Amino acid sequence: MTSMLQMASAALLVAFALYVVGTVLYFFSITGRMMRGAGGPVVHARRFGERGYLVVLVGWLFQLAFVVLRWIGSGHAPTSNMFEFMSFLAFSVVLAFLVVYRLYPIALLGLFTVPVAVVLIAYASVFSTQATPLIPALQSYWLYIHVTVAALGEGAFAVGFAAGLMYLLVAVRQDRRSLETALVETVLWAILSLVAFIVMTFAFRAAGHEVVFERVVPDTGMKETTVYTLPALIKPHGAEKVTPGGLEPLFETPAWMRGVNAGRKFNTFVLSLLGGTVLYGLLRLAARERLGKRIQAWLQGADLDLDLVDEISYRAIAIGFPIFTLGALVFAMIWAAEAWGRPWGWDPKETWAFITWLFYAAYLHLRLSVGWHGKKSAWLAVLGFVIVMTNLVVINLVLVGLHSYA
Amino acid sequence: MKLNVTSDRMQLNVTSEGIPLTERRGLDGVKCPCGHVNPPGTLICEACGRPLDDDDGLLNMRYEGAARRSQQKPRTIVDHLWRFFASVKVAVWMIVIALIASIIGTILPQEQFKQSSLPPEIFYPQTYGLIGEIYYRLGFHNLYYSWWFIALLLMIGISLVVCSIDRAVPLYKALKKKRLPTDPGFFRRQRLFAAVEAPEDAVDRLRAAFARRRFQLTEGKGTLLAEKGRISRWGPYVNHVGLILLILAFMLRLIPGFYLDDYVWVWDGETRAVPGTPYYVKNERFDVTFYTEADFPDPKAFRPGIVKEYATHLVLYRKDGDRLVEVARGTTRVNHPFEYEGLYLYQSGEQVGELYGLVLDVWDKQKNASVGQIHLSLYDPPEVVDAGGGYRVRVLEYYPDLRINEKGEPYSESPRPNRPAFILEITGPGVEAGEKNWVIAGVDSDTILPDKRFKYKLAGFDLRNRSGLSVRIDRGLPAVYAASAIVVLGLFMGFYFQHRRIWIRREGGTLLVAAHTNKNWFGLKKELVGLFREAGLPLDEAAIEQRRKTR
Repeated sequence: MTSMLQMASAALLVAFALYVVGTVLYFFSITGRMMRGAGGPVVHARRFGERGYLVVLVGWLFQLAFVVLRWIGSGHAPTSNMFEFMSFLAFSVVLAFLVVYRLYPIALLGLFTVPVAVVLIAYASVFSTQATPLIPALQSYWLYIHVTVAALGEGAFAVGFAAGLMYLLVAVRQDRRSLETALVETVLWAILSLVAFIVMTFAFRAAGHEVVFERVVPDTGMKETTVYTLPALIKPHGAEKVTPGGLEPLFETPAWMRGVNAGRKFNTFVLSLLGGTVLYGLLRLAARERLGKRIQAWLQGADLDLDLVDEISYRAIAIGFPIFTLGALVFAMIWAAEAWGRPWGWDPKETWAFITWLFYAAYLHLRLSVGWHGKKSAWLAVLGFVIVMTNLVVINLVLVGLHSYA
Repeated sequence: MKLNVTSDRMQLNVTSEGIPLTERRGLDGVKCPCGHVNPPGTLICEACGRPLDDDDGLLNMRYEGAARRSQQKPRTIVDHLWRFFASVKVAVWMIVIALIASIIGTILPQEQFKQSSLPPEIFYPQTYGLIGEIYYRLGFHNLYYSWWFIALLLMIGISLVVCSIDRAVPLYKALKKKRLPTDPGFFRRQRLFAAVEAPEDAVDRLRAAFARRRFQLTEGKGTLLAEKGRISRWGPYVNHVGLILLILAFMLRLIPGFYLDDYVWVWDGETRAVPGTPYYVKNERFDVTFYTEADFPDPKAFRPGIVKEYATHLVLYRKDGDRLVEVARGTTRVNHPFEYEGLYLYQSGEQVGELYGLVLDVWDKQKNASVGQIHLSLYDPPEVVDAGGGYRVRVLEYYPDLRINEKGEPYSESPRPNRPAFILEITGPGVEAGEKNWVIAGVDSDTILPDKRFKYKLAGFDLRNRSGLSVRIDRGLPAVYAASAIVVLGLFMGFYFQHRRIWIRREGGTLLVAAHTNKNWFGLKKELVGLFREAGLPLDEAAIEQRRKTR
């Protein structure tokens, strides 16, 4: 079984590398137009777009191999912890991209979607990658059905997000500052924070950085230790640093953050935002203008049909919505009824799935019945995916609930 | 006036000249130059397809431009209510309010998840300070079951019913009577439009091409309509009907006997009444098993103490007179509940090696020897125990949580065995009349009652496992699942099929081509080009006029 798991890890690594290569190819399909190539810019874009698609498709097949090998190796579907779930989400995003690209073959979609998968796999690798058998609460085939189907729906939402962002980067007027340009910068800053988080995690892991905190749990009197692998800016609530030397933490985690290892996660969250700010600042200094403005100037070369991008974003969400409903609400209800004896109980994670669903329902009504198209619709597509990620990341940080094993 | 982005009301009431349409058209109907009188609120003539507004932009094809009840001038209170609930904007607002309320409900744990025995009025301020106090005072600690939240969900339900009827009826009528427009304005103002020079047999060739692509054809008044994927139009209504049924299915639990939600703790070997039912449950054995190193796919990841399974082997009885009659036996595991005729028992609580009872040595101080041992349960103490050697011990009083009141009388503070105390009476050889004595946890009885002949020395603890079982009956569950299936079916109908219509009309030597779909215009355009190619007619993609929706 160990060899299966090793092969699975290798397959994921290959998939990751191919996604990176695919992104680069898509990048060249836009940028390279300015270069003198045989057959002119249109042929150039198509050729690189097709190469990119092929590379991403092969990458996805490697990730499929990862899913299968990991499933055989661990004895259960690879959706049982944060590493497995986040990499499965990346798998879904790429699948959704491969499908949507068949419907609307524009290369730029790859440039915006495939990096989402790259970031998700990198984010997944931050968590423990060890394969462990399932705790009783997860021993149900509904784990496979509920989680995989919900993730497939969310993958389609991610494509809707990428297309929405693409739309905004082109359509928001950058010749003067406005609320919209500020929001575009905020989205870019948030993405850079995620990148900063991943880079910092791997850098400090490679350096073997470790700070240990200890605290006495008030109710039981037992000692609880927390190990930070990132620099400790914020210590856990009521804890003392055990590791000698190094920097003393400046702040303490507020008491109301009660999730598992809330202190460490909060510290990581704040550090990521700081890292994102530094990255953003550096890029902005280099560009000497708003990043949105620089990207927009660069995207001019792509000669996008905005109506088409608007429709791609909507279509991806329209494809994702029924799947999400089925996976995140209906199958979730059936499993909840079987595991906890009630189909619905307003557990925070359930509630956030409901919130996500309400949000996309509002999006669809605003678009189809009230006539919100273009920028309004694109903003909603971006915000919707923020809500999805909130449910997957923030809920585990701050809240306690029945889903808190991940 | 731009039709594509303005609100319902503006489309209804205002023309480019600023004269309310309803007035100009009259309350009784809108007369088209072709002679047909349409119901008020109609945007596209039912007979000839002529646009009835004074615009030249993209034609609004929503609900086929048919009149809706909510567009008539409201006269009665019912009309006003109908209009309110028929508005999609109102529906979206209600959705947004429900969304924000749901978010607020997750800021602090709801009362059911607070994991504390403190009452809410103390728990929230104590744990979260002022924010907690405010949260509790506003009733957010029980938000999802508050009257206003449930009322909001019901109002969304009403909106679903009204919106669906308001739109589905005219849409059904409009789609049933297949529109064969003769007015060129209808063609020109579709989102996809082309006017091409065409040979005599163009329509015949197209007819064959349509048939190959499985389009349904209707013809009349010189216009050809090719249609595909109409099922898509009914998706939203199927979905909404499903949602209404889902709300009703959840309300089924209000019917007496349809729903039960309770909990019972059962010690190993114990039999207890199942609350809310005529049944009794015996916990024959409660097992906790742990993973071993061999169970781990990756031995390096092994850590001891990871639970593999919680399982209670149980027997279900029904009371028949004074006797318990076995009706079923089985096992309940996490994720795999025990079921008997709609009654479900879920494995939901575990206590391993909990203090269940005391083992006492009955000590005869005169002989300085033990008479025997007795077991006293702290949860269900026996009335009489045989201590051996002809001695019997009677339990006269039991105080699980002993306290003494102002008058010096003993009482129990709670049913939890925090400080258990017994008053026991022993009878047997030498003590025929019986001798009473106290047994108090942690207290040597010699210090309070030194003159007694018998004392009870703690010899050990009786540790047992206890299994927590959720008791559920939910007879509405199949209805919930059926309604959910309808919801999902409607969504797939609506989003995975697309209604495509292509109108062809020959005007002199020119072929008017217009196409409409509810999504994937890009695909429809490609389809149109493909169809013309198959028919051997030239139609360049660039020749198709595509009216802009955005910007």
